[in-house]
Amino acid sequence: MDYKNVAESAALYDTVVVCKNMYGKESSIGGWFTTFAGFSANEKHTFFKSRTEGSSHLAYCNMQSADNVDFVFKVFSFGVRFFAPVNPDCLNYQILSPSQYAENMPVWWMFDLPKFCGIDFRVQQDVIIENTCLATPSGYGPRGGGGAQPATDTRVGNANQIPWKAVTGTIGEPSIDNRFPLPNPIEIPRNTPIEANVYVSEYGRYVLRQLAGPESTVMLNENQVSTPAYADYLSMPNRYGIQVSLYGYREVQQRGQYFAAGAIQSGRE
Amino acid sequence: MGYMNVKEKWFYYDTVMVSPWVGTLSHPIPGWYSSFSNLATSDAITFFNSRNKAIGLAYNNQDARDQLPFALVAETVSIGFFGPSAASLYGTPCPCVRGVKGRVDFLSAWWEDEVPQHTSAVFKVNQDERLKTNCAMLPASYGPTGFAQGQGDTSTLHGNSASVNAGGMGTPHLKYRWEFSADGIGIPRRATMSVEIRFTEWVKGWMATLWGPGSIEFATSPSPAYVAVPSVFMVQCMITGRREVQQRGEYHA
Repeated sequence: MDYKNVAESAALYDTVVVCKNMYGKESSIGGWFTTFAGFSANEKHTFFKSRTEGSSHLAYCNMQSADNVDFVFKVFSFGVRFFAPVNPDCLNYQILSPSQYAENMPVWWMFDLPKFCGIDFRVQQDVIIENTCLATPSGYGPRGGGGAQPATDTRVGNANQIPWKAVTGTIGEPSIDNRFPLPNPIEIPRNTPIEANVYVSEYGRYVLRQLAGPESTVMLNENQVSTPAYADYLSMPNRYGIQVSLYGYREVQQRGQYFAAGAIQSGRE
Repeated sequence: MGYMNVKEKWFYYDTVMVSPWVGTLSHPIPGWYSSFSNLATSDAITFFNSRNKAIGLAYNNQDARDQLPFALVAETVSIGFFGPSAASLYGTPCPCVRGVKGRVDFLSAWWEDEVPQHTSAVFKVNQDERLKTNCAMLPASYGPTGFAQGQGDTSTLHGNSASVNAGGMGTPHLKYRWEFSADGIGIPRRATMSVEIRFTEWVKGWMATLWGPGSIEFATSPSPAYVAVPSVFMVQCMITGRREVQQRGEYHA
């Protein structure tokens, strides 16, 4: 009996992260950065070439092999997403409101940097896509939200004047059909190397290498929320990144079966 | 055996940039401008006949400046106006001192939402005019979509409750682009193709009078310190369609 494959919908994705703190094994992940300046030193950031699910985290990469596709894969769409924290970077570990926020960082990374980046996608040596990151939408990600004004009680110190501002969004409508289309699917054989490259333009790197950060989100601790006063604050590092994804169908052996050539099977015809 | 072509989805694009940063380049890029007032002096802005991908894949993916290197069936066209989403613009150099600073916040929205309504576009294949219309009818249908909530830093010092502009013409979904006829427009290999836009005198009058583009303020190291970088305004023309290339992994020449 010949082997039998079935098609399953599947995604392949990989992520570059920029964050001042790396946790555990993250510190050894290739192509991740702790500063914007470090990120800007590379003109090209490569995906599907060095990270795996094991070396990073399933949230960021689901490659089993660092540079090969483990299964026959028919790719129907391609997307790139620039993500940024919803809260601006705070430059201090206390909230010395006002004036200690870098409000432009998330906005610029999420909405402006894609204007200054190109992307290509290659299967072996064939260039399948060359495009601007603006017009290669991921089809998923955050969308709009609500609005609010910070607490305006000015009786106690600065704590109630914290300049909260949340920014949400992405490039393109986050709807699953809004991705770079490949109507004639790219058929990638098993064990084939693929790669995607994000090219940051000279202007993009010129801006990034001057930036502080990424820094942290700083907020009141529980006691301060109850009784505003200067004291300790909570500080969590903000995380920026770029995620490249392929959507399609992978061909795998029928679940619960084993039809590989030469397999010993009971009850076979 | 004769050659065998296959059709591949392909996006083809070219960009005009307006930014003081352009003036700092040691090798000027044709058709890019360092100020709105410089842009106002141009009668027509053209795409697909003066630049190639050497200017950066972010802006252009043409192999040849003025010819198509492959046969292309053009299916859609767009002319997208993109201003900085970090939309609070300061004069240059930025007065990075503590104290109240002036700034202009609306230019991104003006550029993205208002200018296209007062701009015309002509799409040509060789010398044939295939489309003549208003730029507002050719929205990019890609680009930022998002939202900012909260008033931000109201100190009038650094931060200044910076404005966010994440919108633009049309819905940023690739299915909402201007489509040519159902079969598209067949463009032979090595044909010339161009898009030309023209601003009305009203727009040119504005731009001739405007300062800038201004600068965006960022935190820099060692923090807390601030730096102003020139902002970028762009017009990006994009043709999507199918290109004809040799079957991958084959050689049928």
